[in-house]
Amino acid sequence: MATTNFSATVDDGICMGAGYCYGTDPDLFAENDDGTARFAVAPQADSLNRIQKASRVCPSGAIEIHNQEDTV
Amino acid sequence: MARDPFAFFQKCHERYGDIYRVPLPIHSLVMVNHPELTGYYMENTELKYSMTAPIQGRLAQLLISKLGSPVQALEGPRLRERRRMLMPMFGKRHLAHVSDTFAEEFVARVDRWAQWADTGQEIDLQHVLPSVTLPAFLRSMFSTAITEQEIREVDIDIRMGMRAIGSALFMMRPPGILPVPGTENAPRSLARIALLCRKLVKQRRANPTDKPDLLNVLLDARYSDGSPLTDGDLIMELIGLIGGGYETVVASLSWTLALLLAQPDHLTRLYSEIDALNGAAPTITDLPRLEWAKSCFDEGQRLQGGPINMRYAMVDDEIGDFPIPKYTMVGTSLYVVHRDPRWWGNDPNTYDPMNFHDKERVKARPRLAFQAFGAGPHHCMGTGMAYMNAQYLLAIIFQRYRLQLRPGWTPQHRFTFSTTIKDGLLVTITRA
Repeated sequence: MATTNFSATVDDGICMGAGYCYGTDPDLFAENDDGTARFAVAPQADSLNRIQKASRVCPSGAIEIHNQEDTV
Repeated sequence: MARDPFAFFQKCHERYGDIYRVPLPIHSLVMVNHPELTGYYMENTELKYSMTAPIQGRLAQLLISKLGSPVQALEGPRLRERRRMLMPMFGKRHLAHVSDTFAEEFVARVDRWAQWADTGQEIDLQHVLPSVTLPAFLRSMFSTAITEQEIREVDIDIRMGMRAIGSALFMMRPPGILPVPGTENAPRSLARIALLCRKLVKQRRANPTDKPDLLNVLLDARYSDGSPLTDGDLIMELIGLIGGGYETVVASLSWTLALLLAQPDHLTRLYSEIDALNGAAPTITDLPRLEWAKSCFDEGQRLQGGPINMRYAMVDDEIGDFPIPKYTMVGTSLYVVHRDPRWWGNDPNTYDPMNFHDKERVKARPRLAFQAFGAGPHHCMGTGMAYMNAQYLLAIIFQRYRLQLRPGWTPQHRFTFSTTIKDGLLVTITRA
């Protein structure tokens, strides 16, 4: 079960704006004016799977999930 | 298949559907044309599928370890780590640093087209565009003047490399492999471009700068243990970046122009969008205002659609219920997927930038119905840079000129490693 003990970020410095995350999951990610991505809402425990999925397909490697060692 | 891979895969798709086997002599080929099935193998991150299996053998890897390796030749954790090192140069933050360099060089080079304007002379833009994109890319990489002779040679050398790879896939005639003096051949090209890159690296090391160019990003890049790229990796990475950086945009922009120029309504809308810049060279902050240009470019890339994008199965597997024995080649034809009526409507061969401009249409189709930049671990890192270049070039060209095709002409596909236009893009130029 996922706990809230994680944080997730989109690094807008390396995001190339491919749009996979906000194109696939617009409830969770949003597009900035320059095409880069951001979280549309604060990451919650119940969205961890969706964040992991977005992180896996992000071609920039810009979606990072931290402190997952506490997630079981 | 080799004679006209585009028509071959289209006919096979119509006859055999989303997944079928093409019997080939050495390795079997399975073609997969449904985006969800494509995502399964293209986006696999556990190395069940490899882009570079033929060079992952011990002998090839020994050679690569001596010569150096660009990111395109890596797989698995090494690929991920190298991409992490290179990605800063392709993110939006870095693009902002090199944006003005691209725009300045594009303006200087496109201004030279004035010599042909209003003369009625036909120009092959597909042939001319490398002389615009290559110098801009080299300047953004090295921040130094590269001579016109060196630019011409780099163009020859990169095309030689593409031909070598294309011939290994049995889709192009092989280049000369013997270093015969007085001829252009593969060994000469590899040596020449490697020596040029080595010279530029040496100059930079002797005279370090704090310019945020691509070379400095590469020189500053560190593995997780703190070590830099080896000299061999650095040179091969530079060659790989040049190869991936300018010619791809030439091919896709040529396709965009070839299709767009025959559509007066779409062109008028583009002129109007560009007019909003009031004649000034575009900057990074203008990109959100050049959305129609971006849609025109994407639609050009859609119909450009390469014949095949391939991976090798590294384990026995199944895609859907279809058995995939180890070492099967698994491919997707972008030409086919980008014309599938299920995602692109009943008139998929018509050039319509609304396919991308209308966000509802984008949302309604599977993400991998459009794969111009690939997918998964090998997804093109330069996607943002490619869009910036295309949007800038469309703006800069149409701020100055109007281009006319031969009446009734339509582009035909040609596979030259990238998908180019058979017999080029002939236009006449008038002043805007």
